[in-house]
Amino acid sequence: MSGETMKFDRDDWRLSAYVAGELDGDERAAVERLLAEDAAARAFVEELRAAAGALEEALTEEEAPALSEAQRASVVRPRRVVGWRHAAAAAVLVAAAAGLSVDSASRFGGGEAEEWRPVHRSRVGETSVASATTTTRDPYEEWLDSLGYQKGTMDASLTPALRSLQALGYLAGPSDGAFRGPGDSVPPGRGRLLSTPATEATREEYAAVEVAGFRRAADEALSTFSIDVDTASYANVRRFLREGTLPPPGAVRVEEFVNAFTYDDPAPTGDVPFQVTTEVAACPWAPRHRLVRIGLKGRSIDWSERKPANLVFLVDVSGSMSSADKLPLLTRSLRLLARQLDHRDRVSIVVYAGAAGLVLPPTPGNRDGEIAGALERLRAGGSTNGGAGIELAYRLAEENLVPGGLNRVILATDGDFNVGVSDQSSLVEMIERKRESGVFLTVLGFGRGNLNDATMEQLADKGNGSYGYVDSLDEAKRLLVEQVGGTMIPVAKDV
Amino acid sequence: MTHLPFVRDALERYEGRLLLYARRLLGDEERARDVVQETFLKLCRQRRADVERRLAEWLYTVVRNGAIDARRRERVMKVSDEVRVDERVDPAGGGPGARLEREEEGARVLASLAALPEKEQEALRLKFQGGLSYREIAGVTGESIGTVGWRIHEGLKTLRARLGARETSEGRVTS
Repeated sequence: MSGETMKFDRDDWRLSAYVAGELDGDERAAVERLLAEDAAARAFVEELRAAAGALEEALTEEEAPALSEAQRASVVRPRRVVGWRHAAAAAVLVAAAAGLSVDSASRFGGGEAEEWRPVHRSRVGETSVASATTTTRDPYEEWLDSLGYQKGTMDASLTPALRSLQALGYLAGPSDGAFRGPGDSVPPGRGRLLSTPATEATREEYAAVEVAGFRRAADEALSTFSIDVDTASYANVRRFLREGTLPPPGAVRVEEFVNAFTYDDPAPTGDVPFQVTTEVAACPWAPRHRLVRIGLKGRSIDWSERKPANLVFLVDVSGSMSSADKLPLLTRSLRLLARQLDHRDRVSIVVYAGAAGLVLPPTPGNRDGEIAGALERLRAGGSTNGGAGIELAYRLAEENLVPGGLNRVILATDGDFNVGVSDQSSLVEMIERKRESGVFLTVLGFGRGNLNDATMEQLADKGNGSYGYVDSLDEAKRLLVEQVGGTMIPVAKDV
Repeated sequence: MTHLPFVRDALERYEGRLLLYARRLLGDEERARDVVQETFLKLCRQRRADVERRLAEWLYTVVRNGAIDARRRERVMKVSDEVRVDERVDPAGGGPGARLEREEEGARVLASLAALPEKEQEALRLKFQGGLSYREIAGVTGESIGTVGWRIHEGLKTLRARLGARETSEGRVTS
């Protein structure tokens, strides 16, 4: 180390080179010493970092033009077939193209067109008149029926909710247009948007729902509940509604809906880790009942005052991750997170598919360029071996353990563990064992059609971590930038 | 000698970014397509071992040279300031409102970028869109690493001032 002292000079280009992760060794050390001593320099560099972040984001989001089909073909189609190697390459192309069309057909065919078609089926006892008069039941009308709408027994408090769904275009009025208000109109072709859950058509898996029912407090005075802040369910259900589908019951976890919002509950003071807030109100749909809200507010920890982080991104690059709402969104999400790290932090990237592999060895958090480059190189392909990937990720995290720091494996996947050690209980066991070492697990769920919601939530629970579902860049921002403290820093464990 | 998987992978990774870069240099999407197509055809004729390790730098250099040649040939010296924000459905989602907000923010940043001197824009794009290192950018533009660092620094400083000012000005409506 040369020990060179550096004066703060706004025109010194090394300051932005530092932000861009372009400085090595002595020069970086010199900038870091300057930043440690000089608050003005620190503020200036932070502003440069913000400008660079905004620019990078805008440039990443910029819609790129594409070559025409003919232009692409001129590049990737062999002009002369000179041997079997070319023929093989062409066959790979065809196979890739076929894979693509099958994928889009199953998404659009199974996902929308079929579900929108009314369900034709005969009711028992009504089949005798003529074969042409089988009763047609629209799943949407059945749903309204189940609410008691047709019979006029529907709770009046549901009407505003139905009307707002209708106003948002998620819902057409019933065939008689009864709850359609003056001036409300449903654009042609937008009717019947909500259809019944599509889980049979996809491979998404959700845990069964058990309704706990009412208990007598006199009989069972103690209750336990989990205090982890999972919010995946809210974003996942939003994804279903956007697609015009009712979510399967298991996907709706009420506590995660509640936790998806921020509340202005008072923060704890002094050394107390929690502040408890309670509120009681009459239940809107059953006025004789009382609803109790219990708010537990943990100490909020400022991200900039956190302990050094040792993060291992464990990224699923199996074939199922290739669609735009998975790997590309994941790459951008993780870049958002990486941008908030600095030289104290370490980031590594492990991928898993057919084989698990190390993509980025532990790298200081301020080397944005290297981290972004490694994320950029991720490509989907192969099938999943979540087990081997998780083992490698934990090993890295343990080797680089920051005592008392933020040691996390961040698993980003659509939850499709289908090769190798994918026996769920052994996976869960391993993760439970690993948390003893101080390495916790954060699970980020992506995509649709393959989402193994139950496994992912369980993994996060056992790993003392949290589980978030990322359906958009905005959600990624919410989880990994705005609420990064809540997502990543535990204030209590084993409660 | 073609090496299809290599070229196809390169096409998949760099097509969009190179087209954006070429469009900026030429101010015209059609010409940008021609230059990028020509670049990949040239890539097909390269020996893989020669270009593989410095692929990004090689591609950007060839696109840049192609664009300069095209400008000379056609005497198109104008650089378009138009930044189109496409209305295609964004798979990253976020609902129409959220998407609009993000696009507005993005459009503001891009407009500020477009107001910078052309060489600064180019260096910033190569760094933050192309993901090239300062050394690679120096290779593409034929300047020293120090000059590249200086251009990026000047550009970021100006952006920082403009974006900061926007945030504090009240009630500014962008269309």
